[in-house]
Amino acid sequence: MPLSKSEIDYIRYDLRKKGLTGGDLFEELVDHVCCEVEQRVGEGHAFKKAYEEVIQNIDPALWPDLQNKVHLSENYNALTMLRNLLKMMLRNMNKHRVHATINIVGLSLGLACFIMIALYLRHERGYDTMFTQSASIYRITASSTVGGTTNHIPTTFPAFGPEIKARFGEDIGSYTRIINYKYTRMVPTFRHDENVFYEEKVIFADSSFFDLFDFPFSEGHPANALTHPNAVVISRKMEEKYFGGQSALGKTLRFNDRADLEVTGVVKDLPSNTHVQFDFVIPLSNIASSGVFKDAKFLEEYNNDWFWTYFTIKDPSRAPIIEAGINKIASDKLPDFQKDFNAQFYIQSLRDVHLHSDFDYNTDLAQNGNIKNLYIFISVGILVLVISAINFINLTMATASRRFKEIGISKVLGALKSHLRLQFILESVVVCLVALCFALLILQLMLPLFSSLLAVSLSLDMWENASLMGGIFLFTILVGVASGAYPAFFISSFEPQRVLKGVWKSGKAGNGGFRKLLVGAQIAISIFLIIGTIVIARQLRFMQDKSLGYDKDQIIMVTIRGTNVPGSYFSFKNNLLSESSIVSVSSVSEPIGREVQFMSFAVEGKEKTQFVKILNVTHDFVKTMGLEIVQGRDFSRDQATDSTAGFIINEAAARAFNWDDPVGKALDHAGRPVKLGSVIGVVKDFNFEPLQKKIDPIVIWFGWPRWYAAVRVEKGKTTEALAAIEREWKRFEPGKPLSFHFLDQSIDQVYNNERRLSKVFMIFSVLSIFTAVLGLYGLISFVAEQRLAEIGIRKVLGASVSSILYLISKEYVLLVVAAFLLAAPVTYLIVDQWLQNFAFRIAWSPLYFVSGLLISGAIVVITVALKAVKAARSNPVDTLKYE
Amino acid sequence: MTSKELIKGTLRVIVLKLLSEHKQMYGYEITQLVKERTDNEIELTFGALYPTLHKLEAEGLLVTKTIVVDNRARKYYSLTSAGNKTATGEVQSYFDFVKAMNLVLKY
Repeated sequence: MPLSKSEIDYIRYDLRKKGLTGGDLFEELVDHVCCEVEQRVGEGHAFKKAYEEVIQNIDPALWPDLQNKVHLSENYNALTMLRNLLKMMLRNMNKHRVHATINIVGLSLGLACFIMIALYLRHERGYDTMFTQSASIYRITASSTVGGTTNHIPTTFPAFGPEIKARFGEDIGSYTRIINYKYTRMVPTFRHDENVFYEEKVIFADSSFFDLFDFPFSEGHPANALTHPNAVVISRKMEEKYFGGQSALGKTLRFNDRADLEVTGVVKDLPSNTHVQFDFVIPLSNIASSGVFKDAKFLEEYNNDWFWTYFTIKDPSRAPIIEAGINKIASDKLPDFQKDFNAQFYIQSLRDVHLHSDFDYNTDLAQNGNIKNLYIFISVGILVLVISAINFINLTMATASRRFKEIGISKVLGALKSHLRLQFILESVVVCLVALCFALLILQLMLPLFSSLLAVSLSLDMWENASLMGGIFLFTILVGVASGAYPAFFISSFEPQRVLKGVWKSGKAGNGGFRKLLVGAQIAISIFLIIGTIVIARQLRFMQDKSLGYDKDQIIMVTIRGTNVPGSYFSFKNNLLSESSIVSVSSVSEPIGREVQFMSFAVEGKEKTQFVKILNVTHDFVKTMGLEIVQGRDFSRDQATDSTAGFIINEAAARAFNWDDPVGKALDHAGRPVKLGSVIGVVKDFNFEPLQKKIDPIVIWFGWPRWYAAVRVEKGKTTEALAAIEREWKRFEPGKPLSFHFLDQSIDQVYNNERRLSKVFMIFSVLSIFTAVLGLYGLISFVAEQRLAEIGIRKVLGASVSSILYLISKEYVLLVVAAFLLAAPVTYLIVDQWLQNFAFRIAWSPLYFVSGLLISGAIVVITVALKAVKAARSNPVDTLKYE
Repeated sequence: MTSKELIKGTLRVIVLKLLSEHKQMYGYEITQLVKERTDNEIELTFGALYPTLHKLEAEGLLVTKTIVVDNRARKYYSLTSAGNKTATGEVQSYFDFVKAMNLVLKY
């Protein structure tokens, strides 16, 4: 006897209650149970009793397991499952193209930025690690304190080298001394046949140089390359430059038109991450050829502190003992020096050179890095990555609720929780991997740009960066799993009938709050980056625009040191002055805008020796530079004593010497009875050094032209002026090419590091804001969609478009304000740290914060409005008719 | 009662053989027929039967047809032509196997 409909429904209901999920199999099982029950009923049992017996016979606890088994037996092919999954995913992505694009683009941008910064970090941290003995190489550095100012320099006396080897022979492996040709403040020339060039990167070094710094040679042998005095080792670039494609080995280079050097080795291209940068290495025993010293005797002396001394320590734990030993040598050999200059000596590990150096006078072999800027880069990179990861998680979470129907249907059709979980997680992992592929593509395109921006050579070598790539890969998977986990575990556990009925909507509580927190974090990070970008750009602008106290434009600085021009300087000058394009000419001892050296003076009214920075100039310096005389006069040709016993000081010097009426006050050599002269004029303070430095007292005195000629050019006639300079140069110095720079450009170059930072900051903040906006847009469009019905009802009840706009955007504006309150103090603390680097810096203005708030607020509001307006203007009939 | 392990190993052959004799059968019918023929010796549980049926279906040896009977859906299984061939082959190899087993066990 067949069961009645209600009896069958009872069985269905009861089986569901016992944990079976719906689907094909479920119906089959119901039928089976019904048949069994029918049989028993036919034997005369009551329905209830018959059913109980049937159920007792089969343990229902095993049923979910049965369903599992059936599914496994059907889907035993994992590949089929993956294929289905991928198909579903692609369909889904196609359906929500905008969201999918936002998801992938956002994440891949973040990943690309992060990988880029990580590559840069690796490059910077890998500085000077390519030498076999890297870990045990150290060098001597020194500090001196005079007049309350402490200066650190990486160079010391040449005699230290042999002396430490003699005293600590057991601890020291070998040492090499290096001196940069730049100490002469000249630029040397090399000549091979017709090819003659000025060269910047020329060093002299002990023959042991290549023992410590074992650069690979492409020609020649490192061991004996520097053994005979007339040798020179050149870089491959120079081989190309002077000898074309031919081998340079054994050929001759004429050095400074003074000595012939034989090329004994060619070094392969130097890696960009070593501070030992050179194009030419000449044996130290041949230092006389630089033209400054007659012989190499001074190498045993404690006179010149221009030498880098690198040495290896066999047991690095003995380093402090050696440091103490060097200070002991100093107090033994030059007690006066140590006392007068408060000199201290230190040893610095080779690996600390690049990132942990802070030397004055820009004296190191290569421009040192700045660990602070590096930290800023890293944090910005991480921030961008965090923003994009948050984006991804947020969007995936939000849009997952869109798929309630799909999930509901899947469950009705008998999908298991574990299947759905796997599906969601796999899906987001796959999307993440797609994003990673895109990131690598973006990276390929952007890396050259980024490399040139940071002036380093970065490459995306998978093998070299295996660990980084592995890390990135794992991180990507992690983001995928994390963002897939929420829908996987949350939504998949809902009962299908509720999900399908739409009972569950994304509520305000729970994950809505969490999502808002994530968005808030994004906005806060963006605000930080916006304000940071503004401040850095302002500071840079400030440095460029700040009145330096002199007119840096229209000045051409011609390097005359080491040429024949100083000998005929006055004819050179007069010839130039006869040109209408040239306003005035003076000579000066410094390139201006760089750090300046000290000299010791006995100052009238002061008992102690004063260490004051000095400039040596000739007539017309004040006029050429556009300085302002506030008291007294410039050097005058009418006053014969001006060029022998006259000084010009700046206001800072007058203040430092406590001179109310400086003109006529005496300045003399410290410790010598010779009368030097007196002050003839005072100039208004000007920034003769970079803006990181405050304006120190300076003494300008008359010195014969030897270093630079500063030529002021009529505005708009630069080409004519240059032609004239070139012509006059050829007349007085036919043997050497003209070397000049524009003062404003060279001053700008001092701030290259800052400019770089500013650009990187700018790029990353634009990227992060872009990513955040993408995410916000995605989220809002989702939220607006969710609330379409609510908006429809509100409109039906008479709400206006503007009130609905207000309704939707209110919480986001509040979010911006909250994010701002969080970000502002943090930004202030961090960015102010950076500003402290500059003696001349912009003052904090509330405007920076206000603009940060306004920009982020505006971006958020516009993003929200874009979507919200559409939602608010939608016709309630359309939105409500399906409800 | 015959041990579960033995049933597990032979269930496939049982299903194929029964279906090759009948045009179409549903799950309960199969269990009943087996019970009848073996005089209650072999009782198929659904834990074993349905996974086997579904697996055979996934392999393309069976096709199904769902008919509404007595207010509920009933799923009938029948052999495909490939299923027919497989059924003959597997029954034959089962007999070969039993022969071999006899030789081993009765030695």
